[in-house]
Amino acid sequence: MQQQRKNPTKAVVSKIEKINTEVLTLTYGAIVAQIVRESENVIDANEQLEKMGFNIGQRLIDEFLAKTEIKVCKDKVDVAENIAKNAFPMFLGIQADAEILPEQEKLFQFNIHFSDNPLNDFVELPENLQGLNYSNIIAGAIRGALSTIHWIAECRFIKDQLKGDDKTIIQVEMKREKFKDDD
Amino acid sequence: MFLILTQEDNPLYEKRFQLKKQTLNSQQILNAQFALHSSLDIFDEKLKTSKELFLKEIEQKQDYKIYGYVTSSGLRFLVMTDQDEEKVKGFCQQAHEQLIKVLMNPLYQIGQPIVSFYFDYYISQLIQNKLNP
Repeated sequence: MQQQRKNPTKAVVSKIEKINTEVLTLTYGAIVAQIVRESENVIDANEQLEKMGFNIGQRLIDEFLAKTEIKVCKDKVDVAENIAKNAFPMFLGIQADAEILPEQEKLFQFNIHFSDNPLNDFVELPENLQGLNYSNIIAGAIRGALSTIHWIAECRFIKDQLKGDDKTIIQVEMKREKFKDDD
Repeated sequence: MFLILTQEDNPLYEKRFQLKKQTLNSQQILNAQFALHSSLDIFDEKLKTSKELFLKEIEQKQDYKIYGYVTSSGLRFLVMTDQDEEKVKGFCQQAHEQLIKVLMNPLYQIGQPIVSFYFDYYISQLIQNKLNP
């Protein structure tokens, strides 16, 4: 059973159409630069990036489920592993890992960590933008994807390589299932 | 001294370092800046005739020489030192590569002074290795 779940990654990654990394990096960089120019402050910019990610994630989940044919996830370990081991390589080409820290055992929370984010290539945060979560679009995408499968979640960046840490860590907290009346 | 200027002669970056023989006092530093900027006319003349990026020696004063280098997008490097041409050429090429990385940063506005910490650090290392053995 473990084998069956881990093997889809390679098959899936080869099915997806690829794009040149630099094109993606430069395009995303241009988007962030424009958003920063239009926003009044860093918090606004972060929010906008997250909203963009949310919209993307809502649509991305369909493609993800179609390509990987994963059945229902049994527990949070499953969810975490699927996001880190299947979704990240598929959409970003990043090798990511999921972990659940001891203090997160009781809550429905897990961390996803990775290094070598292609969106961050060549980027250096200037002094006035130190609070910018540059890859906030990823956090938004996770939130959007979970939202479409009826889970309300919160994703935030705990560590960011652009701010000097050695790994980028996103904390995902799944709060509750979505009812018909939500949004 | 190492200077990066745009095509309109706006300074983007400046770095001072020791020459082989002597250290400069503040008056000499001012003179150095003056000398560098005044050599821009000769820089332009050489630019018209030369097809290469490295413009070699563009001026010579008592203790030191001034070298010029132009990038494909029109940014100018000016190096004032008493080292040989080969070393300065190597230095300029590596500085150019590093400059490209700064330009690729989407959060950097082209035409603004370069304040990147990594660029500064890298140039200091380059100067240590190449121009001051």
